[in-house]
Amino acid sequence: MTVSVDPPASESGMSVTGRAAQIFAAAQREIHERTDRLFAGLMAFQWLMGIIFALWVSPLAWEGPVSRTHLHVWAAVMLGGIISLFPALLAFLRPGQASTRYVIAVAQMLMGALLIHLTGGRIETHFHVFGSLAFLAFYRDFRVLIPATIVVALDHMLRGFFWPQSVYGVMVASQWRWLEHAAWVLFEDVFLFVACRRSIAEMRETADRTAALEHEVRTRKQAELDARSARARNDAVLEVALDCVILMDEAGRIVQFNPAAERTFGYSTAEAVGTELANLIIPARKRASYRTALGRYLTMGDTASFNRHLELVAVRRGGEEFPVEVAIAPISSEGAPMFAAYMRDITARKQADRELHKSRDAERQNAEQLAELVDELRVTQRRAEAATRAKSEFLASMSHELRTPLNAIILYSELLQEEAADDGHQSSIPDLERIQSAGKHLLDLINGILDLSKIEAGKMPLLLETFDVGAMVDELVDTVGPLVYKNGNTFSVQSEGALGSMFGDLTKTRQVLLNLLSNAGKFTKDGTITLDIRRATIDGGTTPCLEFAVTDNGVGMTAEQSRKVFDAFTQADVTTTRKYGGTGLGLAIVSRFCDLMGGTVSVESRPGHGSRFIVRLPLQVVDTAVDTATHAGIA
Amino acid sequence: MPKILIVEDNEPSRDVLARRLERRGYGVVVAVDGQQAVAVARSAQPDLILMDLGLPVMDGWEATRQLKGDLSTRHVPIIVLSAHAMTTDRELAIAAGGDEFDTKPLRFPQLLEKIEFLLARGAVAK
Repeated sequence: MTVSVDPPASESGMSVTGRAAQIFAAAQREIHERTDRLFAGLMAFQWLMGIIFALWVSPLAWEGPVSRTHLHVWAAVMLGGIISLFPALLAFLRPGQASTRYVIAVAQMLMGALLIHLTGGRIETHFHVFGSLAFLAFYRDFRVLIPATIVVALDHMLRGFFWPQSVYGVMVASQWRWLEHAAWVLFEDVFLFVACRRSIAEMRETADRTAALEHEVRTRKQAELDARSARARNDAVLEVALDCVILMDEAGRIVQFNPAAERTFGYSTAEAVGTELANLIIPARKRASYRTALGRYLTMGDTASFNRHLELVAVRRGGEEFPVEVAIAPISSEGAPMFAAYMRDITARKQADRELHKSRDAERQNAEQLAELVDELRVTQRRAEAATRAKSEFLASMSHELRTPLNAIILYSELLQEEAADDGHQSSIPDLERIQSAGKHLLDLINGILDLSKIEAGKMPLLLETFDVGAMVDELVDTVGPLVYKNGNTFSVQSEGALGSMFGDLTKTRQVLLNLLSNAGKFTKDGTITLDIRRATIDGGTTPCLEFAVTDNGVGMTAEQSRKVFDAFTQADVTTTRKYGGTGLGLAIVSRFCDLMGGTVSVESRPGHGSRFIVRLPLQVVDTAVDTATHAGIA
Repeated sequence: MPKILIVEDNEPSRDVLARRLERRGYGVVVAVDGQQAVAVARSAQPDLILMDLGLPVMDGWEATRQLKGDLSTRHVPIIVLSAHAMTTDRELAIAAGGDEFDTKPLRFPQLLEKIEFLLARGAVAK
């Protein structure tokens, strides 16, 4: 049996059972249609044969000498046509339909009845009935046998009753002869029924098998397609992979070697495939351990080396060794075990690592050196501080020890002057005055040193109070008068606007101005000295301050001298002290006091033209180094 | 004439101060340490005391405190003298009970002014 199977409507959307039913239905329909066509032909053939038979057996009917075409001829033509045409037409117009089959079954049996009649009820013609039933069984549909059987039974019954000659060829027949005929027909029907059932069962089986086969084929085809596209994808991935990907079989022989591997190792795929990986890219001295690891896995499933990133040494064509990062993964497959090795040339990274380490080492070294330096500096600083403190304490205690004898010297020289005046020893008075003067100079020095050492030791407290600046200046002018006028100088004080009051250390402010003015008097001869006072700002204009400018047109200083003028014991030069007197500490104290009060002092000077000292002190002095706890203890 | 007690351990300082005050007509008694100063002040009943701070046996602070705590001597004005020019010394001296403060080396005219002022005040109080 050839079954043309329509391609499944939707390959994936249909179950195997559904597909089997579809195949079965198609086969059945094919059988039905083919049988329809067969019967259409048969109908035509039977019609023709019926006419021929009628013409041959009784072409003419005689009534005396008159003959005419026998009625049977007409019956053959007319009835045969009527019976045959309709089903034949249906067979072409509606092939495969159940109604077509039934019509054909009825028509076929009627045609049998006609032929039996035309042959004059010949019993042999009855075989047509059995043949027809067998033919109908071609439909493999036992239901068509039912109308056929009924038609035969009815035909025999009715004609046997009314016209026995037409069906049995005898004038008189038994009333029940039709039953015998019908029984034989049923007898055949039973066989045909069984045959139809079996045939249908076989068709179903075939359909099931076909559907299963189709499914199998489709599945295989899909699997093959999947495998092919997976391979294509893998190939594409391997093709463009930046890492070397090398597939190996269980013996470690290379199966696949991607372009990155070709570039890295210098072998073509053709050269590499089939070679043992160890022989190709692993240095001779390492091959044994590599093979051991592979063997361990194969025999014991030891995966210590797998799926981990290892750093190994590989060798290029030409023998150059280089570091690689390797990951080896077993590929699970049903066949023999395979491995994929992923390798990456890490020469550059190693180099970068080394450089990074180097630079980190250098950095660390630098940091260590720096830390050492800082430690040294700290030690040095501590020592310096300790030394400064020791020096300050030494100076403080020394100045104290110096004061006691100095006290006696000054008081005795004064006493002697008084006694000399009383006793009329005028000649010794100038010498006694010199002793007194030298004593006072020494006292000034000691006081200056004491002040500086206290400032350096951080033990010079600020005594902050609100005072009237104008009153302070008036008092200052009284005190300083003899000092500024002594060399024939003129002195004037100029102030801009109301000076108001100031919150600061009155004593230190007065000391600063006193030192500057007495300096000006000391270094100016027959000149003018001015004190200008005005309001200004310091710290970039944020802090209001008072500016005191002491200007003279005395000897002046060079730039070099100006720079050092605020250092202790540095008058303009070493001869200055001898020539002009003074302790050499005055400007150092000015500078320190200004610092202490949060102010500034600066100097502008030209040799031969005079100097101008500018002091700026905040209107609101803030004590930044309150240290009462320690200064209280210095006594 | 008013009698002044000079408490001073340094002999030349004590001597010159005594002589100069005597030249101004003051009566002078002396003590060389704090303990002696307290004893002399009680026995001699001076009108004013010049008290040095750095003294052996008992220092000037303690002597001042004892003198100011003693009913028989508390009315006697004390001028504390210090070789340290620390301003805090002045405060401490006043706190210990001193009436005035001066630094060494002494400016004699200034010291005389203070003595005269305190004696005049004492005379008014009496």
